[in-house]
Amino acid sequence: MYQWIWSYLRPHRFLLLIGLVLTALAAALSLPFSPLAGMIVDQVITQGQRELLLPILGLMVLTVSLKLGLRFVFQLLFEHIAQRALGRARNDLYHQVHTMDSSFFDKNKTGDLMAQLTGDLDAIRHGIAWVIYQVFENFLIFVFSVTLLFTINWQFTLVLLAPCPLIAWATFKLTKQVKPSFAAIREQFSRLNSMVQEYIAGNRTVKAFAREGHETNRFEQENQAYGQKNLESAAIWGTWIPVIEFFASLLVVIMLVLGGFLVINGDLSLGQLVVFSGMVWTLNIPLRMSGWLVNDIQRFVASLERVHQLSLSTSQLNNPPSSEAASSLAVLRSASIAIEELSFSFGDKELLTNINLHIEAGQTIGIVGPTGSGKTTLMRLLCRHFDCKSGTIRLNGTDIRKLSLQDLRRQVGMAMQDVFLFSDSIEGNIAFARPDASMEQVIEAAKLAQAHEFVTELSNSYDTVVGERGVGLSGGQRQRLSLARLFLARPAVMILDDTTSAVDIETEERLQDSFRQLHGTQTLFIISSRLSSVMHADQIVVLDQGKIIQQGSHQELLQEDGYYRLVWDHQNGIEDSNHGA
Amino acid sequence: MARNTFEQDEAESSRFSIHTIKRLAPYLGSHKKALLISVALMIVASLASLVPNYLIKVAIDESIPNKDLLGLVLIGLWVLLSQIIFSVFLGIRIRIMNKMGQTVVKDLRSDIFGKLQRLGFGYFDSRPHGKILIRVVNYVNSLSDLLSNGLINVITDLFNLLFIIIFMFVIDLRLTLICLAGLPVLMLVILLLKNHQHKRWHVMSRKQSNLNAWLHESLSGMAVSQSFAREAINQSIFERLGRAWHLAWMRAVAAFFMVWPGIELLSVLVVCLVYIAGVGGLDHGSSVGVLVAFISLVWRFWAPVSTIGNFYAQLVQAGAYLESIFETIDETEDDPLDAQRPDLPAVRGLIRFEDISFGYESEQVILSSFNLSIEPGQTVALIGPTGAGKTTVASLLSRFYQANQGRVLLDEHNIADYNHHSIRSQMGLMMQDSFLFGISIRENIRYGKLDASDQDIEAAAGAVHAHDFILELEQGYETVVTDRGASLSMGQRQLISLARALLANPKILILDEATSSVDTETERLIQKGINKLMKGRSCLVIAHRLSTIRHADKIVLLEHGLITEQGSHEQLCSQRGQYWQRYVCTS
Repeated sequence: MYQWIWSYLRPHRFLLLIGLVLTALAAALSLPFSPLAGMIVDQVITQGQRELLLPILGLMVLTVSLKLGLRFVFQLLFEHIAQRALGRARNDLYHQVHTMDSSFFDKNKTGDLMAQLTGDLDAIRHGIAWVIYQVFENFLIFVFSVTLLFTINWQFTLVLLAPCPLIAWATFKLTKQVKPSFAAIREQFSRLNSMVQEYIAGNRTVKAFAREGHETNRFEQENQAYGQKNLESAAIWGTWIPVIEFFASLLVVIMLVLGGFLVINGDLSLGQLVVFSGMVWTLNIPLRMSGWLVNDIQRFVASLERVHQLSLSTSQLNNPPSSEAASSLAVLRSASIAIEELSFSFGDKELLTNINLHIEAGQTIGIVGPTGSGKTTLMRLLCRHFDCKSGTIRLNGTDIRKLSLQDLRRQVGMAMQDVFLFSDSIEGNIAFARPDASMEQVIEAAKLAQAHEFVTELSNSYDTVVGERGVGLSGGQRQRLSLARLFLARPAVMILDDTTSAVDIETEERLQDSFRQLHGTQTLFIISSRLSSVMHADQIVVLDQGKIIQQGSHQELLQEDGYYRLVWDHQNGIEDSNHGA
Repeated sequence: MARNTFEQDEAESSRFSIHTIKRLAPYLGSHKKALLISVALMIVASLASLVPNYLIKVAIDESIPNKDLLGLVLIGLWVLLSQIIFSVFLGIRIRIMNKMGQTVVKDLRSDIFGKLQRLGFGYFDSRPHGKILIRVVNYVNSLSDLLSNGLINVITDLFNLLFIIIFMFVIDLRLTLICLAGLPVLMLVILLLKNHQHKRWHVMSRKQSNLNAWLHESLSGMAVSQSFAREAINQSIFERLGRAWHLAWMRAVAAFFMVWPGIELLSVLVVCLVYIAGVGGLDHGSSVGVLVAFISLVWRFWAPVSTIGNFYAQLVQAGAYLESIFETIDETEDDPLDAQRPDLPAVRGLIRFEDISFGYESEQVILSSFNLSIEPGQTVALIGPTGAGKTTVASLLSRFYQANQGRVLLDEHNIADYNHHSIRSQMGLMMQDSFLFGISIRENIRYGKLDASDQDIEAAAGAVHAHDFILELEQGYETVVTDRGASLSMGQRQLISLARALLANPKILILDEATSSVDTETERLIQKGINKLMKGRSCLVIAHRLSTIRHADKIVLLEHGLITEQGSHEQLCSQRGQYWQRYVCTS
């Protein structure tokens, strides 16, 4: 864990060192202050050496200005280091999340990931920017004052430090006890974040069911719990920190009583005791601070643990880097696909069983079957949203598991059922995969997806900004934009996963023409529950319970007595014809 | 509607206004007692922390030279006692103040969440969700330290300052005035810096919000990004937004870090003035003792001043966050009077749209002079090309939007006269994008009727033929729904949300593309169940499939917001119109 964070700090180690040196210098510059103030009282005021006043004051202002300047610089320096280091950590984590497979997103809710990548990273950043120099500064003060006292009278100093083990014990207890409480706060923060995130995403459903009250209860529960966890934590450190402060103050009592005793006995001079009494306050600062610092450190560690945990998660997908991948596919124009003895299960349940399918480059394949029969799963295996346990999928003869994910996905594009649009302009959304595309290309793709017409009717045409998830557009319009997005990317293999379910029949017919234009160049998979969408396909595959139960052309399948014809009849209003025939 | 994107900073803010901070006062109101107790504790504690200084002086000046061992031990005990008091009070203060801080944060968060509940779709639709999220969670959190520590320190220090100034006046009027002369300078500097600082914090918070928005969007749309192998572009956007935040942050903290050294430097300069004036005064008969005593006070004077100055800088920072929070709380509601409207009485289910005109934006016409009536128990199918206004009709019926003209009647009641909660609780609405929550399937269905028993839930799932596939899942009804997991297909999600809508057992059922992703066979199977459930309810069904709509009592063809044909399947077929041509012949 510490290695992980150090790997981000390491590149800045020289800056860190400079920061620490500046911290030490600034601390050293505060040393002459008391002697100078003393000189004014002794020499200027008491002894009347007035001519010394201005030089001494000048020196004072100079050292203080220098100290403040240095302090300003090293504070900024630490902030800068923290931002840089954590910025890189954040970028790396962001990248890592992008490489994760579906099972990762099953376990990690968006709100939780958000919490780790914002709140927790920020707590770590704060820790680095603040805690490092605080600890160092206090350490310096401690070492300096102890050394000074040792040179005056080491026996007395040793006795004076007697409460230190007590302080060490208390900070140790605090460390142990407070850490779980900070972990609990972060955990609850994450839950709260998740709850609110989901509420915002599902606000339409909440309103539709008039469940505001229910949501308020859920929210208040998390909100209350978050406050509660904070208070529980405060109860722990609120107990130990005063204890530590008290132990630190014992130093003063020992100094006074024992020191006084030694002076009375003649073992210590009164002058020495006066010096001790001055230094004891300085020595007290780091000791008192130790509780607060331990608190800050534990807060930092609690977040570090969570983020580190995230950094350890690995994708179950093997992703060879492009250079090492079996072959470079960068210029593929068309692709043949061979699926051999493919089986896939999720948990205990087998979703696909022994699928064999050969598809020539440029063919159009229709996939139909009941809800939950494995249509989407098969397609997601092709895009490697997850990997099959047994069997292979070959793209132009190469096992897709040997390709880099990015290479593969540039060749195999999918328009998903659940259309997700970004809060960007329509142009930006269509050009999602190819931000450098020209406006003409965007319009061409939109036309092909039968979206151009409605887009130009919008108030700002292609510059119209759609809301996150595409709010403001109807379901059919969103689906057509996602088609346009895919058409512009123009991968060799295109998968349309029920992307016309919300499109009206007329538009769908025009879309059929567009699909025909792609025929011969693009390998096209069309999943649809509407058979009219797949009837022109070269091959139609009927899936049921994860198995291929029928396969052939529209005409062939109509000849067979089976699912396909049954559904065909139903969809064409030929009721119960199977019973009549 | 002007929509905000992840790359666009939200509205520019004006200058820092203390008014924003003052709005926190009502939240603190109920904690007056806690604040008073804490301040009292802190004053006693800071007095207690002064005791040792004085006692040590007594010991060194008197007890030790006089070899008064007993006196020494007594003084030691007093010191010990004062420290015990200090520690105990510190512990109590930590608890009281944290309680207060957390309660205020909690209340503020409740208020902003409550506001979200009352805001219409427009608010959620017009900005990235990450920007709303950061306000409710992160921004509110950033206030807790200010409230738990900053506030109490400042109040305590104000008292300290008062005591010290009084002491200083008593000792030497002239030197006190010199010392206080530094204050206007300090105030001037702080006030001059204020707007500057505020602006920087404000920019910082906007950049942070942008980063958050993009993070949220790219996490939500991960499947799309991965499918298009767009990782590298996403990454570069993220890094760009991250850099912008880094820069804004550095600019903001640079301004922030200047405050403390500024005050410190000023204090040293003022002390120098006091020295010069004081030493000069010695020649005119001032006493040395007075000067030495005064100078030790001057140092004590600047410590609280420094705390207060820093607190002000913290306030300016918090102001940037508070502004965003109150901005949301002040957002105008689409229908602020809603809560005052009476409950809609239980309806039989007669629905009438009378002369409705509507557009989401001004000048936009989605529906014009739309008239439609649905008899109690009738099923009406609404069909037409995408963008014809079908969903809008459903939205107007559930009063998600208010018609610009005309009225929607339920039985004889104009729904505009009743609160939306009572209207929607009599309706079951299933929307196009069937949103499921990240909870178990069972709880998702229960959302339709919170007090439903497990049997009710399973019966509803059975009616839509979801029961079987749910049981086949590894954890059955306890399976937690995830955003993009492998476990549920789109059609299955639709079935679950259909079960949810049916469980609500509403008088009026609105199904907007409820089964578009469900295959026709399954649809046929569930049709029976649905038909049974539709009995006695008024239904508005939006669909494209002939199989879904042909059995409706009335089919309404909508085009560009106008009804072009209506009637039963048979009637429309015999008319040989658009419906027959487009829906019957082609399929």
